[in-house]
Amino acid sequence: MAALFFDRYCDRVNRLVWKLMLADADHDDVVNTAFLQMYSSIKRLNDPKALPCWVSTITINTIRKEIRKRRYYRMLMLRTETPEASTTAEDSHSRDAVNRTACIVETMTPDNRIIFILRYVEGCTFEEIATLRNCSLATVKRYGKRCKEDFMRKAAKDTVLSKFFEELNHE
Amino acid sequence: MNDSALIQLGQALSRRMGEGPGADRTASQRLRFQTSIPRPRSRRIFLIPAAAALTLLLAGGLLSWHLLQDRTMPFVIEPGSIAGTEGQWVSAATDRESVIRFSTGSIFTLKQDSAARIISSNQEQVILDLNNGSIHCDVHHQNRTQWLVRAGTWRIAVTGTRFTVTWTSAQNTLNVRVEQGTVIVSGDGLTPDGMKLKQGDHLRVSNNRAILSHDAVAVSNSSAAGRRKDSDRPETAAFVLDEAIDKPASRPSTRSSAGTIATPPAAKTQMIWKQKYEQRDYSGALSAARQEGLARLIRTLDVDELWQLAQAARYARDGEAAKEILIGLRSRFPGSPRAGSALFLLGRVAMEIENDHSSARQWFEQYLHTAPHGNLAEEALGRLMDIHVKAGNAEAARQHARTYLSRYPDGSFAGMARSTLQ
Repeated sequence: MAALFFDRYCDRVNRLVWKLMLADADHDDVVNTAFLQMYSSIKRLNDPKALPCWVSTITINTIRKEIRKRRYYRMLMLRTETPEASTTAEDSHSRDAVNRTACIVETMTPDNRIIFILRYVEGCTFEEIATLRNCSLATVKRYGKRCKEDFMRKAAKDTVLSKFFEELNHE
Repeated sequence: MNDSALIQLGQALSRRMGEGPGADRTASQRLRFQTSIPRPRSRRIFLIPAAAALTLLLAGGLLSWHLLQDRTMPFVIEPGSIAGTEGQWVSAATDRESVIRFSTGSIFTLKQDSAARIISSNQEQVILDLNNGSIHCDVHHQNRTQWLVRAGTWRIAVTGTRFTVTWTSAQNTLNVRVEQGTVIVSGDGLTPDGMKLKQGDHLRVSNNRAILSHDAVAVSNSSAAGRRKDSDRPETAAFVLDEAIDKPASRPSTRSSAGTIATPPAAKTQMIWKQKYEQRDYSGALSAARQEGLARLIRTLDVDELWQLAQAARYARDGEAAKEILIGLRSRFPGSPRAGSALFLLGRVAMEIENDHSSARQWFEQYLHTAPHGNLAEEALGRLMDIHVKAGNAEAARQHARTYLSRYPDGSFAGMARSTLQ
């Protein structure tokens, strides 16, 4: 039964974890945690039609907890956030812009990060995100605006990303 | 700033990350999930307060311990000597290496066109994740710091030795060649405790199969090099991570006795087209390539350089040249990952530069046939659907839309697929 459930939803869960955790080395741990969480709480699911969406929601909540745990751990260890200054200021290729984007996304709050990736990396609509996050459309739009502003503020301080956006404007 | 720029950046990030783990890895996830399902147990409520108290005590102790002492291991990133922090991504440009220099004297040199991330850097443990490309590591052991390099699902624990690791993400293949001392390799296809390799051992792990062989030549060579090195620095470990497993023999990654990467042949670096490519003067690069002889370059360049030349032609919007180079790349390196990507790029060239949707369709179909679950499969399928929509082939478009949604329900073309099906 557990194996059947895994086979049916492993692609969906793997994709969400892979993208939202930015291809993290602990990917398999998070996937396993998400499936165990689903297995222990599936009895509480009343509507079988809602299963696919429920799977995504549980996965996203597991990822959110993992990101939050890491942030707390970082605070406990007295670490500073990833700096906004570019380490490869002279690089101007889009590859570096992608790396810098990942760097900035790492510094976002869990909610901002999830909405940013779902919206801009996965290309979800706000309606789809609202369903996945189990909240209202207005809330998602508000978060969407906030995470975009957060990203653009940090990107403006980054020479690689600033140059990338400038080149995009020229095109 | 409108959303399209961010979406473009997001899609590039998505492509960089790829589609996630393959079938082998999901099979091991499945097994792990099945074995980790908790069995019903009797409730031991009395244990909860005791566990909570113990946890609080431990957390308090840990917090005060960390407050009392700074256990970070500082490092700087060059060029620029910028102070780095844990969690930091570091990338090297196509024309230059980036160096991560730790306070203990250890030096990690990120080779051209590579990216890595420092997961942790403290007195107990330094963990580095190689995202792609190659890294040369020169580790100086001090105190009890554990140095760990992760490549894909494998972990290489540095126990004070010198060895070479090669990891190809596309083929999920690991090669470890020990030159001096011992290392412990753990991960997919190996025993849970890991595999201990000695001097001269060569381990290759692919598709959950491990093959161990012994290289006598490497032993004798490395022993000599090791003696030279040991006389200078008794506690030095150095190793190379190199993604380019499929690189042709004409351009090997060689290592000098001092443990550094040898520079490529000077003649290659002096190629004018390449200089112009690196300066992002793509039209100039293509003109220079024509002056040097495009046909000759197609016959002689290695796979990465051919890829760059094809990109230069594409950016210069010269569809004919781009096609010629990409077809040349495919015929000379048919088994390389670039050959598969070249099919997708040929489709883009036909679609975006030559406006030849019929050829573009054939290229995308060929790509999907050869790599149905490749990194670019989602984009190829989405573009194929787009071509059919534009050509007015409603039935074919709907068929591709259904396939797309079944495989990528949350993909970037999902909106278009849904509207096609309506």
